[in-house]
Amino acid sequence: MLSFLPDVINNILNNIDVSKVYEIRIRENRPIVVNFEGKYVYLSNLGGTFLEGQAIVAKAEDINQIINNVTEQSVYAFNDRLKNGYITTKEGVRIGVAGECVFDGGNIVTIKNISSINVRIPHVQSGCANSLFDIVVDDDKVYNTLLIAPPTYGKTTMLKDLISIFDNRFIFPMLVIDERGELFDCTTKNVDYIKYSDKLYAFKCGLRSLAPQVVFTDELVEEVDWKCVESAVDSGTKIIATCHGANLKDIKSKHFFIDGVFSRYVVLDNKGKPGVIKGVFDKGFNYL
Amino acid sequence: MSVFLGVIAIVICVIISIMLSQKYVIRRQYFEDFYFFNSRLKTEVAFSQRTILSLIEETDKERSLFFDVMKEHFCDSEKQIELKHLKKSEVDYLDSYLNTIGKSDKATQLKFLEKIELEIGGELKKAKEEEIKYKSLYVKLGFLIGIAILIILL
Repeated sequence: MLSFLPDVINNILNNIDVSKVYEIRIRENRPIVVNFEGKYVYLSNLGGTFLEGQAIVAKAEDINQIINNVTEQSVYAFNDRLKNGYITTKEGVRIGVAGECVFDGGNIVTIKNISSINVRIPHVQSGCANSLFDIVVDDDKVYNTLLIAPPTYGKTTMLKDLISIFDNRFIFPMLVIDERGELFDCTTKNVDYIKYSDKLYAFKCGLRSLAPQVVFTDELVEEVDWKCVESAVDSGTKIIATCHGANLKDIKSKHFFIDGVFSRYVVLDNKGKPGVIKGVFDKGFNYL
Repeated sequence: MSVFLGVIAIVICVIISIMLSQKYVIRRQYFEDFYFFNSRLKTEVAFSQRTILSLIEETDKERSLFFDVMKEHFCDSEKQIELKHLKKSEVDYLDSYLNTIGKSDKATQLKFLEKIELEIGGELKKAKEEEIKYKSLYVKLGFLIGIAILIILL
């Protein structure tokens, strides 16, 4: 999964428990930092350390090598994602990028001279969404559900596991709107995936042509995302989605929040592993 | 017996001349493959945006100097590639091309590939003309030398 990384990093990762590494932050001419079990530490030859002096310093060539490897030496093929600030590997590893933005007529064309990358390592935690399933599904009735948590709390990991549970449990058609390519699972049997598309197009075409009974989507971040979800719910499709936020109050205060779309709000907690539910609220924001 | 040896000499001389003219065949083939690949890549960049590696893997051409070089550059092939039939300027041009493709966004790549298409198109035309001219010349020379040997033997 991480073969695109330079040997200097891979050799060290081979000596530590990668299942506990959530992120690897590589910045040009600066120490490499990893998120290990929720804590940020520097990466040294011996593994994680708090001592900056022992940290491995990333070079520009390391970043170039990573970009070359992930894009298979074809940046043009990944440009649409690159200009949105990320690229995703075939194995679903999302790599956030930062560098110089190039604009043409007010529209971003590409990001060049990439100087920082954030490798977010997905972890399959089979069964982490078992309790979530019991909240979302009651007697075969599916509730429109929103998962709420800050970044790195495991929303995507839980959503991916939930999709797998649904696929094993039900035969009806399901659709995953996978904007960043992180949710794809080749083992599912009843799930269609629309990858790397914005939600407006994916909802419009997916609902019309694939007629799913349940739609899973990650990260509702803009007003248009919420409008798409509202429209889908109005048409009778069930929606299970995620949203960045510290808590329910935080989500309700956002300008794009639409009341009445979701019947269940699930707030996640961070106990060092995905699947920890802090609270569940109903349509009227009552604690369940 | 002399006639027989003379005919053998003609055959050998013609074969040698064809072998010597292979250089022009290889050059024409090289520019043809270069032009073909560049056109394919231009289409991919404009439309389906498949990667360079997948394009190379799809084109399984044997005895192709250009694709051997592509595989060596992009796939870390261990095959030793001889570029003796290319001029130094042509080798530098190819090197520059290999270090530019796949490195930039769609719009920039398309402009670059269109420019290359014009330039390589011109080189291909020249290579085709040279192949016809020199292949014919070499074969005629080989035949004449063979005839000369036959005459001497007679």
